[in-house]
Amino acid sequence: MAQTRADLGARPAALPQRRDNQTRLTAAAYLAPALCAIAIVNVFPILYSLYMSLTNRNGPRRFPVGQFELTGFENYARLLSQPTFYIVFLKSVAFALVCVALFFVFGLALALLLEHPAIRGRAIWRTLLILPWAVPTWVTALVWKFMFNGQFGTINHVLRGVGLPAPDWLTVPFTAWVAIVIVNLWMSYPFFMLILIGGLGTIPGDLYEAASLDGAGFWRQLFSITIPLLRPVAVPALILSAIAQFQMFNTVYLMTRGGPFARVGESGSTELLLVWGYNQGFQGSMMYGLTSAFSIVVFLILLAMTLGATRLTNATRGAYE
Amino acid sequence: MIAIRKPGPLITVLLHAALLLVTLFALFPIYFTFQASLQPGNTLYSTELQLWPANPTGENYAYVLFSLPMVTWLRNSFIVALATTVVTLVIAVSAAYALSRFRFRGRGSLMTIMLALQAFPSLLALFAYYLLLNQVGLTNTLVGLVLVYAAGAIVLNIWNLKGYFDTIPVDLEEAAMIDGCTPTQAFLRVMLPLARPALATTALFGFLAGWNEYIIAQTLLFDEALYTAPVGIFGLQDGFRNPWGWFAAASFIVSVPVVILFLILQRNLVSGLTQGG
Amino acid sequence: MLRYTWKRLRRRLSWMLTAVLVVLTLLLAACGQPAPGAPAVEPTAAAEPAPAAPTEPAAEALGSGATKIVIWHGWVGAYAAEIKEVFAEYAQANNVTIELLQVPDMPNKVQVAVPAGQGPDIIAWVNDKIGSNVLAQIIQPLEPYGVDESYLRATFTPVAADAVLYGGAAYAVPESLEALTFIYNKALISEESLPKTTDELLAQAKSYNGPDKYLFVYAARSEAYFSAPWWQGAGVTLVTPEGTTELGSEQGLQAAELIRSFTEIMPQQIDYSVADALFKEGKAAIIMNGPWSIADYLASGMDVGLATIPVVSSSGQPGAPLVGVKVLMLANQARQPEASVALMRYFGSADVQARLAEVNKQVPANAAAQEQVKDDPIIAGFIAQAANGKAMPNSEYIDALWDPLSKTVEAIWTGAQSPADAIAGGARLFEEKAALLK
Repeated sequence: MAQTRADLGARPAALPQRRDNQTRLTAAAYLAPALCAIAIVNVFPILYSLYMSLTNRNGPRRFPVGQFELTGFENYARLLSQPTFYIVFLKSVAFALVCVALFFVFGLALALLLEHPAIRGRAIWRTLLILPWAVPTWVTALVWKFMFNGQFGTINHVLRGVGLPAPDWLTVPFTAWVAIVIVNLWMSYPFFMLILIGGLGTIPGDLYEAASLDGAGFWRQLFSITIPLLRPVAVPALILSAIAQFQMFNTVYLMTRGGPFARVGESGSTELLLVWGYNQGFQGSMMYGLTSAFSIVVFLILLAMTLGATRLTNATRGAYE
Repeated sequence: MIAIRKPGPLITVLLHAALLLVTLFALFPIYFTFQASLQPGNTLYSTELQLWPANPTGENYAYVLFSLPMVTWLRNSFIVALATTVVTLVIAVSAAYALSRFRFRGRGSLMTIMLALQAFPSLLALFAYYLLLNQVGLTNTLVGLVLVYAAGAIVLNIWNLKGYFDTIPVDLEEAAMIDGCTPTQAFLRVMLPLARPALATTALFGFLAGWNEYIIAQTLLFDEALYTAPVGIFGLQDGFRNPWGWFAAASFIVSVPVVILFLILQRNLVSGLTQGG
Repeated sequence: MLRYTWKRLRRRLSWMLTAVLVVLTLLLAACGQPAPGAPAVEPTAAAEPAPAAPTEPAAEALGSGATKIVIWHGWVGAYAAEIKEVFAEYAQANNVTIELLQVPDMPNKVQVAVPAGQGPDIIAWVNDKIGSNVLAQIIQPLEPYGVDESYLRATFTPVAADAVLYGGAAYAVPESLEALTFIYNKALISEESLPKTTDELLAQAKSYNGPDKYLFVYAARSEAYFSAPWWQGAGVTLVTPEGTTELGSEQGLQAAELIRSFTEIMPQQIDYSVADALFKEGKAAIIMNGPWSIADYLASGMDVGLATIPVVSSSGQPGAPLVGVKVLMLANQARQPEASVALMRYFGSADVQARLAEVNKQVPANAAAQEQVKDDPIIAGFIAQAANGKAMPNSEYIDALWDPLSKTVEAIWTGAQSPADAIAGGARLFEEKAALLK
């Protein structure tokens, strides 16, 4: 069924456009609710943060209305002159790249495994494997935090049981980072698995037959047929997911609060962009100006990434259709 | 990958073993939560590996369900999640239809702008949400919460739905219009039924947006009778202590509806996501 | 083929639409208002809805008087239950309604709600938020409503009265004092063999400890508050009224060295829950913890005793915890300020505080109440400990302390930095944060 739809999609999908005014009016009517909701709920906070970022509303003394004033780009200067900001940013880039790469590899491996003809009870396996997606993120964080406990956690019980070293996961900078990547993988792979299963379904089987006849093995087929043909499905998902990783807060904050903090004054090993911003602004210190400047800067960075990404996505989509 | 020859028994066994291992990885945390919820005494800390509580009890469930306003909280969560689902569906479907079927200037940039706005880390602007809703008297109401959640969920859903609609041939609608349907009728009668997997996916995402969130809810609600389940559950934290047993029981209760929803909708997920991508 | 699919889908459509309609109707009936921004799909469904508010009683309303006092608090469990009972009686007798709401993440929440006029009448919290709440205009002075310094000094113990005075004005009515103390399991260690100094503690632990067996545990690496006894015992003033810290001083180094040596006698990954579990399971003989934990230990059938925190060997002074004072503050824009302050005074009265103390084992802030309950061994233990402690500062600069202090402790604990580097870094971080508060 999926193939059918992909084939049909090759035809340009616009309705016959008659009178231009009428078209515009109908389109506007259909779009109005979405645009209203977005303009009100999404745009206002951005404008408000922009305004706040230009004030000195930092600390309780300048919190009340009337006690703070416009001070220009002071908050931006303070933020951007902090070396920690750049370190945190690079860490977030690394985190996003590692996570997205893992999501793809793990998701693809599972998709291939599930679609393998030798597998019995495909539907049941698939159902079980998407369950992590259904667990609320805060539940995920709390459960894994407990399982990673060095002393009492299940993971270390098992590791000790089989004679492997049992690190204090969440208190050692490197293993804490590994832990949040594992948890993130656990939450996120089902999505990739599903879209890649869908993607595999759109690849015509005779391509593989032909390749087999030519003597191409598994890996050759994987890199010459499967991955290239998955691009239209995978690339947008990968890009959107990478951007989502930059917005990662909830799970990491609940697990580590950004720690462990090996050295005072340096960022914690799991202190990703938003965790850092939150720690800077809301640890009881009412740094509204500074936090707003931070959110605007993050917005601009992600904006640039999103725009670049959509261009890429559109390009691939155009090539596909 | 489609192999031509029938795979040998060794391969079959190995592949199933691999699948079993991954499934264990997927399910163990869920199982762990379940067994923890049966653990008496609110402590999970034991120095030995325990896969089943020594004396399982339902007391955590009894406490969470009957001594706390959990039923009210769950009902609030349901209301919020369902309302978010419906609002998201209606708004996103109509917008995606317009973007897929009409050609007008600025169509592409509109989609890009919507996506770009998602880049704002709204989590750091909770104060702004509060002020905004306060202007219209919607703080401390579930309606306000639904508005925020739906606005957050529609953009990606519009993208997904638009991509899906693009793959549905326009001839069917044209045929309906020749039979005398207006474009709207053609949309409702022809397009929507065909887009069922994408609609199911959108509904699921809308539901999740409303069901799982707690940071915004915690900021906007200050009436215990209006708390959603996650807000109420986090309120169980007592200073330095985490009542693990209650947490586990409550987490399990909260996860069940979502799991059921996934089980119902999962068939649609594959095509609903892929086509739209 | 396509036509066939379409037919099948059309059949499905009918039940799908029905389902959507059912959901919509349910939704409108339940939530009461048409969803904002959503065009009505089915005009019939938008009929006038049922009332918006759930039918359950809003929050925890006590009494039925026309005057309604709203209290936001963080009380939980049996402690909260007893307080509710006290308030219920008051509400009955004085014909007021008291609404209690347990609020997670209180400090952030009052910042948004109070300026918007949606805050409570009374905020129940700890005195360390008084300074910043005054500056941020979250709370208001009590003098216009008859609570002044002379009343506070006449009614409460000196520590408690000082805790609620900020800039010479009264901003809260104190409820109870909280301090960390040593709690020991009598089945594992006798009163005589308790260590008297930190040197003894370390030496004793090294001979006592074994696999799964610890002499002394506490929430050592995760909570800054728990490290205070060592810093203050060594002679460090953590926050001065001028917004500076002595964390980086020579005394600070002594305390940091002491904390580092604790890493040798406790599990590496120790936080509140781990320490608590070790103590409850009989795997640790002594824990440093506060009054909130006692009920739990007694309920699990342990025979526990209290002892003051030992002398910090480097200074010869007893370990000095922060003595936090739980307080009731009057929110800005409170709707019922007079009735609220009257309720606060009742809450501060000797009878009420003695009664709460008996149930909750807390140290009453009211001097007369403290006199009444001091024979209770547990309360007596906490009274003795509080006498050794230092009052929790209520200056706004305390907000600059927690984060640098917990990072300092963590750096010492992980060993990534030497104690000297850690305290220097902590002091620097404090200065940065304090500068933003000025």
